[in-house]
Amino acid sequence: MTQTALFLSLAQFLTSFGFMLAFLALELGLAWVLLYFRLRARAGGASPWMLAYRFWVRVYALSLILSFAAAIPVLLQLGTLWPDFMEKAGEVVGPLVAAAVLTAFVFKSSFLGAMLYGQRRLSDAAHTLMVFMVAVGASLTAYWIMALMAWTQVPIGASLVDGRYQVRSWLTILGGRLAPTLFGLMTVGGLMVAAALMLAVTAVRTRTRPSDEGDRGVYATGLRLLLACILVQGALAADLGRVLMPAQPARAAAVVPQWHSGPRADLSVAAWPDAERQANDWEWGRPIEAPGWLARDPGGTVRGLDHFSGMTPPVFATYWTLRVALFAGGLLALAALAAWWRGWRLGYEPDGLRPLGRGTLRLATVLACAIQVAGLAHMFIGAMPYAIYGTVTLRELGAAAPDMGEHAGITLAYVLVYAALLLGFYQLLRHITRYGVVPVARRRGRA
Amino acid sequence: MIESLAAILGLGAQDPAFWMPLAFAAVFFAIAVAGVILDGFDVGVGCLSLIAPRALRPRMLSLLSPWRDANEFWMFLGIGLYAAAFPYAWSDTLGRLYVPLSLLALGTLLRSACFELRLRAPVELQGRWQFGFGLGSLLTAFAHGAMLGRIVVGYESGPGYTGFAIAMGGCTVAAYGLLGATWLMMREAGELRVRAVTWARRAIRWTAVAAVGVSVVLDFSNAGVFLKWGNETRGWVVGATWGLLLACFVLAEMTLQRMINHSYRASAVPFVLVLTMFGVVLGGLAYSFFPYLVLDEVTIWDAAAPVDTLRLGLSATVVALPVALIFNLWVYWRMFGRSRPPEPPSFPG
Repeated sequence: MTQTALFLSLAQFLTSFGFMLAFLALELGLAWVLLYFRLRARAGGASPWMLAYRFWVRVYALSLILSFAAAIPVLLQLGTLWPDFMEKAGEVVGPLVAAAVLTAFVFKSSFLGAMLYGQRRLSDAAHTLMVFMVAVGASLTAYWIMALMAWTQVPIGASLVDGRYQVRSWLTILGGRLAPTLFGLMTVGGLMVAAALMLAVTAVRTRTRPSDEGDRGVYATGLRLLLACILVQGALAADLGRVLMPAQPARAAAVVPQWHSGPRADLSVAAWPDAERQANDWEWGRPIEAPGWLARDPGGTVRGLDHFSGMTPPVFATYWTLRVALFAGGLLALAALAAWWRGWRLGYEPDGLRPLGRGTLRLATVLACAIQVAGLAHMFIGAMPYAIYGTVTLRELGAAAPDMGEHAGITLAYVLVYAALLLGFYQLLRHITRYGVVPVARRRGRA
Repeated sequence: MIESLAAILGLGAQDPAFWMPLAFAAVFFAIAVAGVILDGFDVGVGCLSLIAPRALRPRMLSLLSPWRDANEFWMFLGIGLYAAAFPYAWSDTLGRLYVPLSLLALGTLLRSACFELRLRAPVELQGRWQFGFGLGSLLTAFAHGAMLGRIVVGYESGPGYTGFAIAMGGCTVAAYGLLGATWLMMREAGELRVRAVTWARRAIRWTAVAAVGVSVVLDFSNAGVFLKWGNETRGWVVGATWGLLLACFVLAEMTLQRMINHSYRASAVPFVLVLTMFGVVLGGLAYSFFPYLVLDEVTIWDAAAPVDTLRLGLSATVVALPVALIFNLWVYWRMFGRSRPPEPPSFPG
């Protein structure tokens, strides 16, 4: 497999997988937010929460549609782009994929239709139960996928015998150190994007009309949720780093970036890593005592990127995806704190926002998305060149010799289709923000 | 036959390593048939919506709406099962179908996303989502045919084989179009019905080309399959299969010719005939391939996951099967006959 072919395959796979995961996370976050709205509407009996539910269930439906539709390309690409992945790890991957599909199937066919189209026919309590079950189903589906991702990062619970992985313990694969953390990160990430979206949409909606009680409720909920998510995601990301960095020393070295082995770590806040010269330009930082998560020789020398005989991730991308996630997180935390301070002084009233405030809230959505996308990209790119860390490289898995023209054309087609769908999502979101939601109906067997 | 197969493999017929892959192959075949037929009319109507007059298109799509949730799941279930039960066949099958599978993935993605987004889009934007749905259906239908064209020749490559795959892709578009058109003429009266009859009459010839082409090419490109069908003791199987297929085509053509002036009672006949055709062709393909997933190379036992994994999969299937059966019966239960308009909701008080 040539370098270009590998790059195209990776681009294609990461686009579809990222698209699916992004909308799955948003769907997951919104599912729990909707349950909250539904419970509040039940408890208070007041209509504002029901109005909020009706609006946000549309956004939920849109993200559900996109994540569901995007799952098929991801599954097929496992076969077309990485045909030997199943050959080597089928015993682990197959059941996890099947579990995700079956969970999605059971929960979707049993509860989703009733939640989206059956509200009128169900009692209030029954409908709330449906919303709860849908949220549980989304979480379970996400957990299977995260367990699979965690296993490729730290392959424990299965052993490689004659070129094929054999499962030793499902409990270790499913409940290992990494899978719950990754699942938590994904859930909180989805909640964070959902919260930021709630703020941005409320800010845009109240620009042209006075806010009602629903808007104020959504605004306050979104702001508190956003702050909580930033805190929890920070803690979870630190926990992930504690597990992942010692397990993947090459990633840790690229994050620093430690070009050469030496007594001290050259940790920098920001720099322009130059892989050819193996040095940094415009570095901002200085050598420090090596932190605990960096790999060291018995003699105490910090292992640099020259230590791994070429099996290192692309330094620039690994370095900057993490920095983008961290910087965006910091900015988002500042924006959220400012909005919270304003709310604390003046009340959570979106009407009084000035244009700058509204712009900041819209930017918060972009930042929240940037954190999740950059974090995900860091997870993948930092593990390169491995597909299953430490044993199987991406290059081994790739198709033998895809025709370059076809490969490039199909990758381009994927990118175009995903861009069109993303644009469509944005367009519909903007439309309902401006004009509100008209419910759609779907009746069994009748048209 | 089961006993002799088990003996060839050196396993007992009661051995899980023998019957579990067989059971999964049967489930997989059932899902594939359900997918081709049930998702098939959906794909067909989608393809036809590209050539239908603009005014009829929204009605065609709204006729599909009640089945969408169930239809789009067959492919998921198929892939999930294929991953869990036959992981070691992926590189030999999916890995050799880069272009058709990518087209299939794009088509399915467009279909699922565009249909639902269209439902929720403002009227002025619905046209482009409708086009996306039609394009996705066209890609899906073409990819199914092209995949079949590659599989039956044993994944051989070369200009002739590529040409055959493309021709099969085109004919499969017609076959799905026929399925969709016959379903439409059963569901709806008026202009749409008349148009559907015209589309069906054009499509049925190319469907015949597809059915005959795939059978003949499979027969002559593989000696094992030729022997299997050409065996003298099973002459009646060949006769019955081709007789049934021929009868279906002739009857379908005749009913289509009489369709426009016919009463509404018999309008389900062409659809049932076309379903039979699809069933016969798919059954014949399965019979030809059994017990191989890749002819002469990979059997279902070579590709199957270890027994422990299969046992896990089987227990999951036992959990999911009741849900699947009840849900599908509940959904598909009114797919025949003329479409009834929905009842207006009743408001209490």
